[in-house]
Amino acid sequence: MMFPIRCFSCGAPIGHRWEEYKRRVEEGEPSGKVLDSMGFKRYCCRRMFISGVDVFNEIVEFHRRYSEYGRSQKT
Amino acid sequence: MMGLQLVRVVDEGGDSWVRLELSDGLPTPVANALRRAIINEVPTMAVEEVLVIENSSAMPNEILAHRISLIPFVSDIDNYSLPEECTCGSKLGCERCVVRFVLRAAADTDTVTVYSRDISPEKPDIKVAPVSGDFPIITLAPGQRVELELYVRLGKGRKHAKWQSGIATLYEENGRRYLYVESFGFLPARRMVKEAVKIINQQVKELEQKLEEVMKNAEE
Repeated sequence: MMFPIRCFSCGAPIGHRWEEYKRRVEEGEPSGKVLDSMGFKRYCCRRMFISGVDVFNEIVEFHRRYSEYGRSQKT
Repeated sequence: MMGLQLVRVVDEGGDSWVRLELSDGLPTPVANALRRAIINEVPTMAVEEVLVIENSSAMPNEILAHRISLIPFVSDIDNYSLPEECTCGSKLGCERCVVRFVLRAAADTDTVTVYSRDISPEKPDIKVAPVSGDFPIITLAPGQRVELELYVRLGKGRKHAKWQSGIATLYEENGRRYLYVESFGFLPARRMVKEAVKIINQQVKELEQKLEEVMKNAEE
């Protein structure tokens, strides 16, 4: 699914920093440094980012491509 | 004990965290009560009820509602009361115990990501709002639409972790005891400690009253 709003273990809000994290890591910054600069100290929050995968985007992509085929089924 | 300094602010990160050093006058069990009160008892605001008017997204209603409920809201605890303590007695809530928001979003020809900034209050100029506008809630494919009504209420971490006001840790370092308090954004960290103290005072008073009643009944 989408990236979680909060850390599973400690409950700290993390969702609002995900897009910035992803952008910076894709630009080539080491993920540890990005997390340090964003102030995530605990390893519970850090693993949320490091192991985060956006599966939901693939589902949305499926819907985007095939929505026209499904449209005929709608009333 | 009057005039004795029980805690001292060692370090502070704005409204987001404080580190307090505990003096010998403050026993560890009391500090632990404070720690637990910060986690379990300090009231904060979060979405408690979601009315789904339309959800044609790829995410089921329950998961969408759960995601929204985890978004922390800047809490106005002075002007609002807990639903169970509110004088209105209504299950739906009144102006003193519920804040209504709406979330309307639709994707036309492109995919659209809906953020917490798209949550708009039903009444303008109120203090209550999502802590950050950057929480991605859902991504919509072309043709999909969500229309939700959100009921934000005060609550306590004891009932659901979405209302947990922050993190409080008690630890020892070089023979000194510290209480580290981190806010999740609902309330400033200092305010959390103050509220926790107030709540503990209240609870002790209640205990005293109950004990007195029990003693009286035993005498009779």
